[in-house]
Order: sequence, then structure tokens, then C-alpha cells
Amino acid sequence: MKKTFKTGSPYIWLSGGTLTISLLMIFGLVALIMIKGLGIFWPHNITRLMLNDNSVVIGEVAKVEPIPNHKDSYRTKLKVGNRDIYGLDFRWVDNSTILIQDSPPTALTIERREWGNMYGFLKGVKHDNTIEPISLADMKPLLKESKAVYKRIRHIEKKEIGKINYKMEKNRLALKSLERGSQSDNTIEKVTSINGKVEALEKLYTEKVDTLTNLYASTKEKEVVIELADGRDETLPVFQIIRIYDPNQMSIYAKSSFYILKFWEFVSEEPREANTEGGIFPAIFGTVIMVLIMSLVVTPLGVITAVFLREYTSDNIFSRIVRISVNNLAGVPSIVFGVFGLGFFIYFIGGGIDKIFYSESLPTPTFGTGGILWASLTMALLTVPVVVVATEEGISSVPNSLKEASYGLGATKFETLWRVTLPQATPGILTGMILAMARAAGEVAPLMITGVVKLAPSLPLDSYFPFIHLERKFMHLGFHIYDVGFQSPNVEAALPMVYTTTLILIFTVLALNLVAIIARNKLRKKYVSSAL
Amino acid sequence: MNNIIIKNLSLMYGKKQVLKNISQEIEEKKITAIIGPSGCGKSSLLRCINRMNELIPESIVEGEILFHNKNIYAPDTDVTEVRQKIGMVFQKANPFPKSIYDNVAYGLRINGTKDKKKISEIVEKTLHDCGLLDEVKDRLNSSAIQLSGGQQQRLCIARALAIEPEIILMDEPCSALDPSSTFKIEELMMKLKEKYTVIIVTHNMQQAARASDITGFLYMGELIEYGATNTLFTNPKEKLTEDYISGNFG
Repeated sequence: MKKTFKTGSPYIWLSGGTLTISLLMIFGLVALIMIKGLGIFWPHNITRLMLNDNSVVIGEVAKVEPIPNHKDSYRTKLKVGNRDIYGLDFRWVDNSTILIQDSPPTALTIERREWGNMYGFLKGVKHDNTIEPISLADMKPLLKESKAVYKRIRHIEKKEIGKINYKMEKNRLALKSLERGSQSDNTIEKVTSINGKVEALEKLYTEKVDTLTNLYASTKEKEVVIELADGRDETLPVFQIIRIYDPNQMSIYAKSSFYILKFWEFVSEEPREANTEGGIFPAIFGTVIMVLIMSLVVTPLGVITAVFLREYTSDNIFSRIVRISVNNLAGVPSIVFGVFGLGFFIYFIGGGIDKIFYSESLPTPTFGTGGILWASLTMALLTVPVVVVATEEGISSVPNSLKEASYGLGATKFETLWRVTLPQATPGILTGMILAMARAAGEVAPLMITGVVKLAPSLPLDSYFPFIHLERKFMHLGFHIYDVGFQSPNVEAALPMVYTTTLILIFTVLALNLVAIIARNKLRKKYVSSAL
Repeated sequence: MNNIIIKNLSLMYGKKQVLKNISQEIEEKKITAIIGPSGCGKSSLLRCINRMNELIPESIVEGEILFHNKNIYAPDTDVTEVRQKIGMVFQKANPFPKSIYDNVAYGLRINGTKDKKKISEIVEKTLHDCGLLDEVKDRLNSSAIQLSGGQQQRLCIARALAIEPEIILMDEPCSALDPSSTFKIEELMMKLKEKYTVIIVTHNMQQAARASDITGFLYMGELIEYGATNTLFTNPKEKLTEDYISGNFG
């Protein structure tokens, strides 16, 4: 026994085993998220169940599990959809009550703009009081038409009316500042000209609203009739339908292309229905922009601090205290930074900016409320220690002989720093940035009080001057996960979206890091130190 | 005018005295070798001459070094100017991890030369003077790290020469090189003394005997003997010098 321990092999086994457990946990985590998250876009078959009480239900089988405390009995969780009619998306069925189970080929899944999916059979198009049968292929042009109308409506609502509102607000503020400013001869002239502009805008606005009303009215003209599982007929405006398909007849190829389409829709579109349907594009965008702004702020801040600590102070009490404090900053709970951001950035600095530059729009705050800038700055503060530590390591790894060579040629300290030390330390600095980005992309708590929202009306980047709106609130993948998973009105139906969003969050962090890692490796190759 | 006069120079690293009251004039356009056993302060003496010792914390210098009759340790002296005029080549070749061209151009750019044509002329000329141009002219823009050890050391000499110093300090420049590279550098030194004053610290007594005009023997921080190389090696005045060069200690 003693001998075995002396050989050292148990320690190899111990360390190898620990590594294996860690790897297994990581792979398990990623695998779980992938399996749960990637499944939701697959068009599942529709199952029809005839029960012993003569009722019929159709829907997607979500889960089959044994009933607790009952031997050999199982129950099925069926996604029956039709939330507007049944009230719930899911229904539990005791397997012992099932008489016949089949998959009717004509059963359809109908994705709607509201109320989630509908499962049923297409009866036809409604004409006054008669129903004219229609095939699935004939539905396509109708859907295309309604999609065009939908796009038109969205365009008017978001872009055109948004533009009018934006201009109106500008005029309103101009008017307000004229009223408050000192009166001069041309004040009245200016006021009249602004009033004229406002009137023109209001007229334009009424026109747009009229167009919208007409468009909305037109959407109710065409209706289809769907037969539900229990034989009831439901009329549904074509406009409500996003997509209609028959999963039981789709080939693997059709299902695969459907899957890719849905996945693309998920990452490129805006959310619908209180975030439980549609895509997550604004959240991806918000996360990336926040991380980028954060990197722009934290890198100079961290690098300059590290340069000061490493190159300009000698090892004395002061520098030691600073270094310990910076390192301890990394251990402060993130919510504390959030509170600091709220108190310092939002109320103090933001409020100050509002008082000086945006006084005409008060009491509505512009910068004095949460926004992407304040969230990014708070995150920068949170991640500064990481960058400082990594940069210090990078700088201390620069060989002294190179610095001496530079000094020997008559370079000053700053020239040496700028031309020799910092370029050599860049891989270290980038390592710090990578760690900072990973931390900032995943942190949610401080964001919740510094500017993240459940649903942001507009992205922080658009076509209105100055194009990037740092005062705007934004959406974030981490917060989106929390919101969809735990705050949404329909948690059960949205649960798969939690996993998918998590997956996208991981991929976003991975993509951001990958860019930095590639840059670092390129630089490392360039600055391979002389190994004589 | 050009020569360096060391007056009562003492150097302390914290409480440890490294150089003790050294006074010596160094002759212009000659190769002066400083020899002595390890730890005797040869390198420290060399680094005092262009104020490189200041980079070591807790180093204290007393006494004067006159360059152009001006004390380089005077408070109003610009240290970067001193280092431009008194260039240095280090024990281990330390080219910057940049291209060969950028290495030579580094000093010029630091000193504010902006004219690209002028820079490239000087780079070419210095590389030629160091006998490196033929070996590297096709790859001026590739990394200096890829050069061999001897080439790297010659590149470092070229880098020092590019800003036209008056004095070149060499701190055991051949200690990491093979005999043929060493030979090339010694050849280069012979060429350099036509224009520059060269001070070389060496471990290798044959090298000092071969390549230098004047030799100083340093022992325990004191300059024991200083004189023409021939005399010092064949007929040393001091017992310590004789013991050292005959290999009785060191």
C-alpha cells in the first residue's frame, strides 16, 4: 500500500480523474443546452388521440413519463395549442384512457401572430356564409399577400410614424426652449414657423393613421375556417397566419429546410407576444453593442492603470494598496456595481447632463435614466480588475533586455513604453479583454438596474442622427433568458426558448472571444520573443 | 575633445559598493578593453558611462564622468542625449521583435527623423558598414528574430550606429557567439575604431589581447592597471594582473 503511494501513480489518477469530471460536467452542460435548445425549431409530427370518453385531441407529444406512485402506468404531455380556445397550451393525458393513437396526414400546424400555435384541419375559405374548400398549396399566395400587408403596417408604424414623432418631439423641445429663453424680436417669428411645421406634421400623422386604419380593416376581409380536433369550426383571418404546414407529410429534407428557416428567423427577427414567440435579434444586438462599448472603455482604463502600477510607481505601500484594492474589486458582488452605476452614472452624471443639455425635455429624463451607455460603463468598472491584472502580467513578461535596448538608443520612458513594451504586451492585454468580454456578456444583475429592458422599442443604432443612441435602453440575452423563463405569461410554452437563447448567448460570447483570440494569436506570432 | 574622463567614480547598489573611486581617461578612436574576473564591476563601469545604471533601482553614483568636458551626471544633462551619443551593444543580442529595417530605423525615428528616404539611406549604409547588407538585403522586412545569433548581434551594432554615436560601449558582445561570428564582430570592431571610440568589456583575454589597443584590469571594483594592451599582457606592472592573465585565479 505504502509502495503504491510512493510511486506517485495514485496522484496521477487523482488529478486525471478530477480533470475528467470537470470535462464531463462542461460537455454535459453544453449537450443539455444543445439538445433542449435546438429541438424547438424541428417540425414535430401531430398526433391524434381518441380517448375512452369519446373525445379527440390533437397536438404535439411533448413528453411521456411514468405516473408517480402508479406501477406501469404512463401519461403523455400533449401540446394542444389553441390557447385562445382551450386556455392552456398543454394537456396531460393518462395513457390508459387512450383508445386509438394515430397521425392524420392532413393535420396542420398553424403559426399565428397572436395566441401561439393552432392545430387542426383546413376546411376552406369563408365567403359570406359558405365555405369554399382550399388546398394547402393555394394558401401560399394568400399568405404572401398578408405578409406584404403586415410589412407595410410595420413600416408605417415604426418608420414613418416614428419619424413624425421624432420630428414633433424636436419641435416641441425647440418651442419649449424658446419660451424659457429670453424674448427677442424674432422669437414670435420662430414660434410661428415652428407651429406651422407642427401643424404640417400633425396633418401627415392623421393621413398615416387613416392609411393604417384602412390597412387593418383590409386584414379582416379574408378568413379561413379551421376544423379543430373536437369537430368545432374556428374562423381565422388569413392575416393572423404566419405559416401553415403539415408536418405529418413533410419529408426529412423539407423538415430540415424548415428548421434552418426557423432558426434564421429566430436570430434575425424581433420578438412577438411578450417575447414568447418570434426572434431575439434585438437582444443579440444589444448584448454585442454593450460588450463592444464596454471593451472600448475598459481597455484604455485598465491598460493605463496597469502601466502606471508596473512602470511608473516603485514597489511601495501606495502601489501595494492600489494593487490589492484593484484585485479585491474583482470579488465585489456584481449587483453592488449595479447600485453604484445607478447612483453615480445615472443619477449623478446622467442627471447632470440632463440639467445642462436637455433641460427643455425635463422632467422626462434623457441621460438621467438607465441606458446602454451607463450599463456599459458599469460593466467596464466591473471588469477593470481583469484587464489590469492581465496587462500587468503582459508587461512584466516583456524582457528587460528589450527595454534596455530602447533606452540605450536614447528613447525616453514613454517612447520605450509606446514602441516596445506595449506592443509586446498586447497579447496579454487581449487576454484581459477576452476575459472581460466573457464576464460582461454573461453578467445580468447590474444591467437590470442600469438600463436593460424586457422589450426595447428601438435599437441603439438607427438612421437618425447621431445614429448611435447611447441613452437608449436595450435588450440583453442574459436578461432575456430570465424574462422569458421566469417572468413570461406562458412559461411552459416559452421554456424551450430559454434553452435556445442560452445557446445563442454562449455562441455570441464564443464569437466575440474568437475574434479576440485570433487577433491575439496573430500578434503572438509577430512578437515571438528572441529565444537565444 | 572626444575622450571620456572618469573622475573619482564610485557606484553603490544599495549598501553594496561595486566601483571604488575610479579615475581614468579613455582615449579617442581606440579600442579599450576592460577585463577582470566575474563580479568585479566591469559591466557596471561600462553602464555608468551612458547612465544605464540608473535603470537599476537603488543604484547610487558618485563622482563625475566628463564627456566633451561636460559632466554627464550634472543635473541639467539630458540623459537621452547622452545615450544617443554613447551607444551600447549588449551581452545578449536583443533585436526588437520587428523587421530588420525597423530595428535599424528605431533610433532614427525616436530622434525625430521623419524623412523616409533619408531613413532608408541610413539603414542601408549602416547595414553595409556592419557587413550585414549582403546577407539580409532580400528580407529587410522580415523579422529580425529569424536571424542567426551572430547576425542578430551585428544588427544590434548597426542599430546603435544608425544614430551616429561617438562612443560605442560593448558589453561582452561575443560571449554567446561561436568563433566564426566572434571573428566577424572583431573584424567589425577594427573597422569601427576608425570613426568611433570603442570600449569593450570581455571575459575572453585572448579577445582583449587580439582586438584592443588599450586594456584596463578591474578587480573588486578597483582599476588595478591600465595601459597599452601589449605592455599589459606581456609585462604587467601589478602582481594581481599577472596572476589574472596567467590564469592563477579568476
